[in-house]
Amino acid sequence: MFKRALKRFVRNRTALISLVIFCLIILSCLIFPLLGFNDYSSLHLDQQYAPFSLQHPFSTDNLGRDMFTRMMVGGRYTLGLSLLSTCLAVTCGTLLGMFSAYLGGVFDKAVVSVCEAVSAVPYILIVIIMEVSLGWGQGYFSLAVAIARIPSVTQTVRSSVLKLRDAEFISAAKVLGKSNWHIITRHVLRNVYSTILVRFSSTYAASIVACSVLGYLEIGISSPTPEWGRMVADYFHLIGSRGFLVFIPCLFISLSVLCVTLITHGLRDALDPKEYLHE
Amino acid sequence: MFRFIRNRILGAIAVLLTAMFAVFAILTYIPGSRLGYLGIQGSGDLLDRLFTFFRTEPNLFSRYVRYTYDVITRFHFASGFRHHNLSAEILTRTRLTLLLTLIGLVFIVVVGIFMGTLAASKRGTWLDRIISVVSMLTASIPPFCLAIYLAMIFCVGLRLLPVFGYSKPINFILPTITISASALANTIQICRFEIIEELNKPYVRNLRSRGQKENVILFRHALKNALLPTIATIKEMTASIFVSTFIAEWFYAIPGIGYYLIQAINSRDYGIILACTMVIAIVIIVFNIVSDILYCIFDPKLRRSEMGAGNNV
Repeated sequence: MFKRALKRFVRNRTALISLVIFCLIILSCLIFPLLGFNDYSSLHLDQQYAPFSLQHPFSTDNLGRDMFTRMMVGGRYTLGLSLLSTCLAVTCGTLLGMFSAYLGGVFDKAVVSVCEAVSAVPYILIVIIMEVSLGWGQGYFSLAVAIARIPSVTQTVRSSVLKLRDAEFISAAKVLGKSNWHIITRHVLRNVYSTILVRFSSTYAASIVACSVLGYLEIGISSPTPEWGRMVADYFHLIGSRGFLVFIPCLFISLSVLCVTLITHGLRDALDPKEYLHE
Repeated sequence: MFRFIRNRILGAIAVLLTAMFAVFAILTYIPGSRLGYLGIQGSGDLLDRLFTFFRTEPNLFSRYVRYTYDVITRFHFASGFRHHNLSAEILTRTRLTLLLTLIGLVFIVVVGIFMGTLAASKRGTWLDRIISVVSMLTASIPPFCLAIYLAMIFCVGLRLLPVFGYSKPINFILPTITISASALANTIQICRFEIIEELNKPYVRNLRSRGQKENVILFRHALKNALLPTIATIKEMTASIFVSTFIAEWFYAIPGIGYYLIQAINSRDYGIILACTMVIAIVIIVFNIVSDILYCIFDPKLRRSEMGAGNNV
């Protein structure tokens, strides 16, 4: 099953190319700052807007900081924090969705109505309220983004578990006297893992957008930290004269979101043969 | 159906009041918030008499009751600062935001359904492929990145359109595109998919075999059936459309409610944050109720079942 899905994924050229590009972005974000060519925070006011060269592949900004290193360090924040919040959201959402669908009753009703109410509110509002109440640190920030993303994960997982709940193998496990925990972890989870994987990927794309949007609106990561969305906001006043300073972070955000979206499509096609045939 | 609408409205009000109480409590207990010092005395109205009759002390709940009562009866938002005239400010700003959102929504519905139908009717051709690829690209670009690309092309590069301002119709072109882009792309994809689904069904083959014209099949039969799921998708995207509206307001410096909210967060003005949150929540809930009712009217299946349930009881 897994091998065949992998084969189908590899055969999908668009998804494979975007996976390679995304891996390159992540690897360069991890490796380049370690090599120590330039420092991302030290100011060189004599080297403003240096010409494009090997020393400064993306030039330097208005304070003479090397843009390339700043982009790479910023990728760690944008991609890393959104990965953290995605993991949180998917874990909580999966647990909530599975238990509410499997157990049913009052718990299910409560979860469904809370999810509906939360998903009708723009996520910016939720993040704002969470940030205002918890604090403005980076950990809290990704927690806030995660909480805004939990309802949609819960709804997806819940609806796919609901289809399984009355399946024969579940009843068989019940008749054999297995505990609820055993059934959920051994039988239900294995059958919804493909849904969860696709959902993880799409949530990751949404979290990257959320992180950079909040950075852009100046309510996310604060200024000296080179978060991609924040960099767009910082250099925005230079859009008329030094457009590339705004363009580069924008391009990286769009590129990584696009790659993750295409990977999501590839995963969905590879893991769900029925859908694949349909197209 | 009236039963359904009534239950929907009552449920929405209950959810709104509970959620707003949570927000009120959070914003009251934050260090530096002035909301904890709000009084509960009004200008001798009904609530005042009730409070004196029951000898109510100012606590979290009574403050919340006073706040909500003022909002409902006089549209007055207390903020803890005497000089704030929040109500007038919020009214004008909300009007602007609503205008923007409605323009965006109309754009999404009209262009989305048109392009989706076009792509579906020409499926497999280069036109369909172009529409699909472009909508894929715009669906995955964050709204503010799109706004920056648009500004770089049309304002900095070609010098065709103004970046800022909100007085002339020409100012609204770029914000409308920014607001609607990702939702529009999703709408096109869904509409195209649904129409292709419909066109593969046996009744369409039957119509074709009877010699019905292709345009009539497309618009009168396939589009009519595909419209409902498309509208349902647009309904689900209301919240994200509002997020894009805030971003567009921030980018193009349009003084709407989202701009006000973000400004208030950056200056930690909890009174304004509370008022803006409340207004946005009310607007979104009204949007949802209206779209639910419209959906209920347009969906024959739902309409019959709801009416049937109402008649039986």
